[in-house]
Amino acid sequence: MTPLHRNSPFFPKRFLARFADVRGGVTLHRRLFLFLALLLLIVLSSVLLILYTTGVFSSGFSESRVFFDSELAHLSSKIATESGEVTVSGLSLSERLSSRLETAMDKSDISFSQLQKHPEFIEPLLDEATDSLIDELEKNRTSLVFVALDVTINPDIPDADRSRAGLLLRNLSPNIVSNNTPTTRFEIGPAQIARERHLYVLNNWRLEIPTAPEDYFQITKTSAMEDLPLSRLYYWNPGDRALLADEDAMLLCVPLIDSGGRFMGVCGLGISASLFKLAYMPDDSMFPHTFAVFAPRTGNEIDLSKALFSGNYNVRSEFEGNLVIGKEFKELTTFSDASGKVFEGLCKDIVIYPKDAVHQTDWIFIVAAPQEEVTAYNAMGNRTVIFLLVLLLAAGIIAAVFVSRRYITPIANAIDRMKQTDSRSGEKYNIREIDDLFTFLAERDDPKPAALDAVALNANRNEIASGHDERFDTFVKNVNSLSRAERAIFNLYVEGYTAREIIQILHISINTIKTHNKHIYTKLGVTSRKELLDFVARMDKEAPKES
Amino acid sequence: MKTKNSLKFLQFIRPVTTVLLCFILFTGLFAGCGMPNAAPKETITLTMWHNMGGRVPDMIGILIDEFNAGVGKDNGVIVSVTSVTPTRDIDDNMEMIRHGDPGAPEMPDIVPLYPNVALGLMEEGLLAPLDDLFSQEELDAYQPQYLDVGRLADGKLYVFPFAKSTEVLYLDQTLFERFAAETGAKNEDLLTAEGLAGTAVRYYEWTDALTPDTENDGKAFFSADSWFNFYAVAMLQLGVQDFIGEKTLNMDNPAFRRIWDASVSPAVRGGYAITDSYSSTLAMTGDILAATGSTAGMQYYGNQNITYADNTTEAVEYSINPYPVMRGGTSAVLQRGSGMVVSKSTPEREAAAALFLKWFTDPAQNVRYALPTGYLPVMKNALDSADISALPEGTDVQTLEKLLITVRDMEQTYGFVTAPQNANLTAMSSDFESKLNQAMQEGRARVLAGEDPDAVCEALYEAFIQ
Repeated sequence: MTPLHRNSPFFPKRFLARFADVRGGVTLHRRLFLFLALLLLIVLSSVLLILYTTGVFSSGFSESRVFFDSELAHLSSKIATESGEVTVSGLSLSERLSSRLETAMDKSDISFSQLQKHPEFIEPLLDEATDSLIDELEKNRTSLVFVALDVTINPDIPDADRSRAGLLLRNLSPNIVSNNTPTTRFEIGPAQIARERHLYVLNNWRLEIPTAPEDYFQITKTSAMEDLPLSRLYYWNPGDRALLADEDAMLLCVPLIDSGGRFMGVCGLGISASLFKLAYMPDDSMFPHTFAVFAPRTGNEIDLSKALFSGNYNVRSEFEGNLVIGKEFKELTTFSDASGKVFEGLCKDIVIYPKDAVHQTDWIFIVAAPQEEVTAYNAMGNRTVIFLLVLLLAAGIIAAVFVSRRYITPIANAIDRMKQTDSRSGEKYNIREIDDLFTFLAERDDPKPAALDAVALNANRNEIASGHDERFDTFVKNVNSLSRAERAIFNLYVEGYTAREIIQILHISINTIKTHNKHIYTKLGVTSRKELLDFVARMDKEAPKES
Repeated sequence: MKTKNSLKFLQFIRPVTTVLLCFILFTGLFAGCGMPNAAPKETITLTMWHNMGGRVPDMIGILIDEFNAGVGKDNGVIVSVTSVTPTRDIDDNMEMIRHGDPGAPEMPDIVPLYPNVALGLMEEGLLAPLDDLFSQEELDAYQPQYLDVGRLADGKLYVFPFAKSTEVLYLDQTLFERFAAETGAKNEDLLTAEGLAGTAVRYYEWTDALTPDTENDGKAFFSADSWFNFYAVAMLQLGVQDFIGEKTLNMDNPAFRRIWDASVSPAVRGGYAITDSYSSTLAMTGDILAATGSTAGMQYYGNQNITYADNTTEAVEYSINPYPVMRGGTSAVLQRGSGMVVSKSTPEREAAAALFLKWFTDPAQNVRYALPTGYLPVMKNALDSADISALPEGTDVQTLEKLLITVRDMEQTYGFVTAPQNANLTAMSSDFESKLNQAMQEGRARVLAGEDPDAVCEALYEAFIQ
């Protein structure tokens, strides 16, 4: 930055000197301007104080809070309700499937423990389960339904223990407004089952369901060992690719348990990442990058690798590592990721397990936006107020400049003119105080007859010598028309007293003498005391000649 | 005197004004800073449905996210996908919207439709013409035949191309070579419909003979995803232009009979699979070796494993061959692919939709979602500039390269035909498919029961064209 040159008008000393001339004091213009500007600042300060105390400057924060509050209430309530409904459906599906499978095995005179030795019965069993799965998928707005039996079609192939016989059906448009034509697709299971039901087979079709090392199957199998009702044994597998090859999905896993308490497999429903994104899309009208996250929580740490995301952009790519819940700021909660990126919003714990269930993972639902967007929005609300105040300040300063100029200019002009003319010239300025001042100065500055200007006397003499002075004749003729009071004052003037001395002699006010002066001057046809004294002197001179 | 006063006043007011203006300027800047991500006022959110779900990876979703974060954000446009659903369901919902059925969903701003479905919506005034939303220079960048297909009855452009496909013959080359080694079958035999039919019957007989103890357990060789398309194109190959009438199909002519013999005859003999499933479902399990289908089915016919019923797998390699032509006929193939239509709304919303379509069909984006799924980009020279090695992870580059070689060869020698704009086309084709499938099943059952295949074919034909 270039430093200010000492001759620059903005150099502090010069700038101040412009405002207040140290040699000549502050001009009337500036005095009046500063006075008005000070008045304006006081008014604006009062307005700012009122706005601050009434909470206008924090309206942006309030609106942000209301927005997040509303979105969180709406979406968290939806996820809580729908996950609850999915859980109920999953439990019901498990009971029905267990019953149907047992019945089918009874008909074939085979027990579940014998099934692995008779794989030819597996496909008919899965066929038996298919209609129940299709019904469940069509009833629920979920992305998938599955069943995995704890047997494999061919135990003799390599990696036979990594998959289990099962079915996976997907609904590719569970979000469609009119759900009159469910779009059930076949992703895992014997192809013949799909063909018989005219189900479209997806390109990533597989014959068996992957079950190892995927946690969902093993964890559910382990929990099935507990002597608890089914409603306490289910497990919500967080968002991962345990089942789907193309996207993450959150899975409700319910064990299939026969009447003898034996574990037969796992069934359940799932919410895919794409469905979550469509179904739980937060409003982005206030903050363009608003997002929603549903994830398991451990203390203050949110495991984003197992989360589902929603937002009108690739939300997942915004984060590095896990999200940590920070402290509250202006009634909003802050969240930060491993890179230090900060988000603001609100969160709520979602209860997805009963209190006495085997699994007790805490799940959290977050609605938030990048902190810079929230900050910018809050500032935007204040910006309008600040802009209006600045506008008001500017208008006030311009008005102060204009008013001070209009007000002081006639005075300044009069003073300038006074400097250039004789104060006794009798010129009028139509400003009463100025005119009075001029009269006063003229009277004060008038010399006594003895000291009359020689030049003026000579001029009168010249006029007398010429023999033509109508004004003097009028003066002489009208002297007798003066009233008694006027005559007394006139006489005192003739005797050489000043106006101030006459006031003291006659005990009258300045206004009274001004009035009498006006009358005397009018009657005698003179314009000033000086002229009056000139004519008196001339009368004295010409009196013997006439006599 | 007055001038002097003015000068003095100016000397006084100049620094005051300067300070004031600086203050206002800095205040304004301060107030405007710190909002790099704020959305422009009046953000337009467009709803969109699409039918490209279930792909790996979900490039449409990724690209829409990119648009919303970039061009869309800069222009105050957000595209929100509210449904990902197959074409059939989109068509059903569009029909509900068109007729104002109770429970009909709200029409999305952008939705992919075929011209015959769009026609009905256009007639109801539900679609926005797109010509004025694009400059002539912009339109000139697209393949003209793709734009022509999108012009409806009033000559205006309503169906905007975003990805096109054509049909090819997929062949499980691994299994075919095993068969060819013992029977002398050749890939060239599959260039004609008649050669395909003959090869299919030989394959059935060869596989049947592999298990002499079991009769009639041979395997089908071929299946067509759409027999209606097979017939419509074959009729054009044989010079019949009026096969598809306004409400009926013209089947009573020698050309139709020739196609019948090249389709129903091998079907009743076991060479063609008789199914209403997609051919790919049969190919995945090795139940057929060849299928005609859209290039968009490429993902089903890559280098992958066939999984048999006992969960054993076999790695196979597919070849991609030109679409079969009727012997002596003109090489013709169907050009497929829907286009995006924009619902009639406000000029601002329509312009926002056009902005998205321009961005979406630019080769920089178009190639990324079209090619990995076997679709073709819609701008001229888009393929020339396409860097296949830079396509998204998961793209079967090897199969794609084979596909592009075949398609580019076909572009030189084939005529590309499109389905006529006929509101009755869907109903007519469904009816035809259903009846033909029934005829094939009946014929196959009669042949298995011991009837002469040629006599069965003849009888079925006579019944069919009535």
